[in-house]
Amino acid sequence: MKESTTTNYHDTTERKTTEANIKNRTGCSYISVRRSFAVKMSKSASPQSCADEIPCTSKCCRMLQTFKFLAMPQLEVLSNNEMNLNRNLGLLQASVSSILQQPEVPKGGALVKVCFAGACYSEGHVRRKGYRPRFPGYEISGIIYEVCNSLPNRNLNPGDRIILYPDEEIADSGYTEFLPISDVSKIYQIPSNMSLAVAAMIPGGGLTGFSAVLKAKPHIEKLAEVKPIVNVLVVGAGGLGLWTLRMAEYLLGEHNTNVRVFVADSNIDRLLTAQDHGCYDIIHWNEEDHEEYICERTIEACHGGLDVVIDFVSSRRTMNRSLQVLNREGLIIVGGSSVTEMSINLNVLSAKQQSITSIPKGSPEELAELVQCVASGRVSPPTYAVFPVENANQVFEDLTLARITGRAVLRLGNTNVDN
Amino acid sequence: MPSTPEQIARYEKIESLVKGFKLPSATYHQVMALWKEEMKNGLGKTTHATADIKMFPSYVRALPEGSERGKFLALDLGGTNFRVLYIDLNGPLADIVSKTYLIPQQVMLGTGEQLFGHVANCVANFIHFTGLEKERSLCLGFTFSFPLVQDGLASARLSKWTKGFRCEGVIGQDVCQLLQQALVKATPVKIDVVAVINDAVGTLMSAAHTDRKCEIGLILGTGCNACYMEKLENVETVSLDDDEPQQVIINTEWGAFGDNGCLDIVRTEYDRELDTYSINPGKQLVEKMIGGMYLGEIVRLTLERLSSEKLIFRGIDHDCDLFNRGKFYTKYLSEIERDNGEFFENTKQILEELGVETYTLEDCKIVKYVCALISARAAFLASAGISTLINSLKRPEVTVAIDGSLYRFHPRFHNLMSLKIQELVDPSYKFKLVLSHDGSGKGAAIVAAVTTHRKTNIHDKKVSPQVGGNCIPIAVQT
Repeated sequence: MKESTTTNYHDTTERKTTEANIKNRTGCSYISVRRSFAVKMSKSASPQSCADEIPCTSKCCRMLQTFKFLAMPQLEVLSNNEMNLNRNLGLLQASVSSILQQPEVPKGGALVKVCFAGACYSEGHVRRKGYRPRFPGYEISGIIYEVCNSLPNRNLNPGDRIILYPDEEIADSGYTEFLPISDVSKIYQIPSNMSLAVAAMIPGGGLTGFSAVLKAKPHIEKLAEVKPIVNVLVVGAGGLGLWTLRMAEYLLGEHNTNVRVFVADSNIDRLLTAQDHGCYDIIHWNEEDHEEYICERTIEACHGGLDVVIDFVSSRRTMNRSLQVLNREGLIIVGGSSVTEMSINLNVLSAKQQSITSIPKGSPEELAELVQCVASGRVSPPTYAVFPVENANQVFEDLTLARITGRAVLRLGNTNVDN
Repeated sequence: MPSTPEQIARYEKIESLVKGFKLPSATYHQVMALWKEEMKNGLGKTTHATADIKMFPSYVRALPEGSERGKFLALDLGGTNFRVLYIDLNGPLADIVSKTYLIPQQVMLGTGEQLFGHVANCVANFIHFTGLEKERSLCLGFTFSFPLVQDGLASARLSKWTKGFRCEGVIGQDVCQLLQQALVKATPVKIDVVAVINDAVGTLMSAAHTDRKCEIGLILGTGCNACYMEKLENVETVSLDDDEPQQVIINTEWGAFGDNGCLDIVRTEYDRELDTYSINPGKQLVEKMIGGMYLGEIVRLTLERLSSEKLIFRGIDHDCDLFNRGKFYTKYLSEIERDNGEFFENTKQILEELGVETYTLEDCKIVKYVCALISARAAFLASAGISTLINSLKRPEVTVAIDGSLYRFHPRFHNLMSLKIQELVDPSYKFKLVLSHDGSGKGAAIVAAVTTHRKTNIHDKKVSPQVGGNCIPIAVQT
C-alpha cells in the first residue's frame, strides 16, 4: 500500500570508499561508462521489443539504443535535470552532448535497469558538515535489462523484477540508470504482487530491522520466562526504527504478550509516526532537555527500566542514556553508523551483567525469507512515499528535518512500472 | 603553568571582554531597589498599566492546610510535551499517576480547536489508561504556562502565544472554557476544570503542601518567573470576595523586569545582541539574563566573540555550530561546569558536538570560566529578585519553593543562590530554598483540592447563619 506519509531510513554500516570503476570478480576487466543523464526510456526501447524487432547480438542492440537517445528532443530539457542531479548527488559535471552508453553486460552476469532506490540517510550524521547521502545505497529495485549469454542454468530473463542483496561497492557507486551485476547470486526476483517501491526497501531497512530483532529475540525470550514485563527500546524513529517495529511484531508478537516495545527519538512527528506503527509507547528524547530529565522521563515511561535497547542513532548521548536506564542483564544492540568513541565503565557493565553488541549483516536466506513475508502480508512495510529522483536533494533535506516522516523512495527515470 | 607576557596579555584581553558579567554587590542592591519599585507599581491601581512587572492576581487565596482529600486530575501544558496526572490526596499523602503526551508540529500551528481537541483526546486516553472511567466526575487543575490574563480562578484569557505555538483563535479567549468544551466532547466522564494556574503558582502550592512556611514560588527553567502570597490590602488592581482569606497569590510575571530600560546598568553587549535577534526584542529583559532558554546563547555569543578576537579556538572552522544561533543548549552549561579536574571531558565532548575540532586544554578552561560567569550572574540576579520578595514579606522564616531545569540540574545554582540571598536579605529574616518536585503537575491538583475543599467549607458556613434566622447573605463582589 502506498500512503502519503513517508519514513526515514538510517544507514547502518560504515561508509567504505570504493573505486570508481567496478572490477569483474572473475578477473575480466571491462570499461564501464556511466553518464549522469536521467534518460526517459521510450517504450520501444524495452528489451523485449528490441528482441522482437531485430535478431541481434547485444552489441548491435546497444547501438540501436544510442541512436534513439540522440534523436530525443528532450535532451535539451534533461540538461536541467543533469544540473540538479550533479548538485544533489555530488556527481561530476557531464556534457549534455556526450553520447549515452549503458554499461556492457558483465560476463556471466546481468545488466539491471534501476527503477527505485530507497532514500537513506543517517540521523547520527545530521550535524556533520558535508555529509553526503550514499547513492544508490542498499535499497535498489529494478528490472533485468539484459542477461549474459554465457550465464548457464539460470532462470533470469529480461523483464524480471528484482532486488539486490546489499553490496558495499554498489551502495556508493553514484547515480546510474543501469547496474552491471557480475554476481547474479545477489539478484532476488520479486513476486508479482509486490510493488518495486516496497521491494526496494527490503534489503536495507527491512533486512537490518529483521537482523536487529533476531539478535534481540533470544535475550527477550529468556527474560520473558522470568519477568512479568520485558521492555524493549528502539532509539531512532526513522526508517530503521519503523522496520524494527514491524519485525518485532512479526518475530515477537504472537507469543510474547509481555514484551513492550518503546521508541525514543528527538523529533515529535517521527515519534507519532512510530506510534502509528504499533509500538507500545513513545518517549521524546528532546536534545535541548537536560540529560537527567530525559532519563527520568524514560524511567517514568518504561516502568521497571529497560531490558533491551536497539540503538540506531548510537551517539555518545544515546548510549549514555541507555546505560543509565538499562536493567541488570540488559542488552544494548548498536546499529547506528556514528563514528563516536565513548568510554564505558567496564566494572559497572560486568557487575550488572550487561552486554553491548552490534547488528549482524542479514544473510541471503534471511533476505529471501523477508521477501516472502512482505509478499504474503505477514510483514507490512512502513508507510512510505515515492518521489522522482530529480527531487532527491529536497527529499534528503526533508528527511533530515523530519518534514518527511516514514520512508521515502526515489523513482528513477520514466519508470512506468507500479509504484 | 608558566606565564608568558603573551599569555598574560591574552588573559587580560579575555577578562576585559567578560568583565561585564561580574557585578559588585552595590549593583545588586540597586537592582533590588528597582525591582521593589517595579513590583509596587504593578500592584498599584494607577501605576499598573505602565508597570513592567504586572503582578497578576492568581485568584488562589489559600495555601494547602495539609488536610485536603480527594481524587483530582491535573493537566500540565507548557510546551510540546504535556502531561496528564491523577492524584489521590489523603492529607499529607499523595498518590500520583502521570503520563506524558506529545503535541505534533501541525497541531502547534493549527487551530485552537485542534489543540484543545488533541489535549482532550489525550486526557480521555489517560482516563482509559488508568481505569478512571468508573469515576462519575473529577475535578481538574490546569497548569497553562503561557502568558494569561486571569479573570477568576477558573477563567483566564491567553494574552499571547510563546514557545513556538501559533494556534489560531485562542488569543483573547478563556482557555478554561476551550478546554472544558473539548473535554465534554472527548470523554463521557464529567470533568470540571476548577482552576487554571501557571507553573510558578503550581510550584508554590506543591511545596506548601508539605512545608507550611512556604510563601514564595520560583521557576528557573527555560524561563524565569516568581509568585508569592500577598495581603489583599496591597493589591489595588482587583476587588475580591470577602469570604476568602484576605490574601492572594500574586503571579509577578517578573521576566519583563527591565523592559523600561532600568536594567541597562547590568546589560552587556552579548545581552543586547541576544535581545536584538530574539523573537521579542525589547521584551522580557531580565528573563533573557536568567532563563535557561537564553543562557546558552549568551555563552555562545561570548565564545564567538572570543574566537573572532583570536583568543580561543585558533584555526576554527567557521561553519561549525558555535557560529549558529540557538545551538548552544543550556544543558551544556550544566555539563561543562560539572567538569572536575584537568581533563575537561564534558567540555571536550560538547565542543565536538558543536563541530569545534581545534581546541586546547587552555581553551576548555576558558570555556568553563565563561560558563561559570554567566551562570553566576543568572543565579545572582534571581537571588536579587527573591531577596526583594523576602524583605517585603517580613516573615521571620520563609521557604522559597523552586522548580525548573536550571535549578534542578545545574551543579552550582542552589549554592550560588543561597550565598547571594544570604548576603542580600535583611539579617533578621531566615530563608530556605527547597526544590519543589513536579510543581506544574502536582501543584495544579493541589490547587484544585484546596479550591474544592474551601468551597465545601464556605457552603457550610453560609448555611449556618441562615439557620439562625434573619441574617442577610453577604453580597458577593465581582
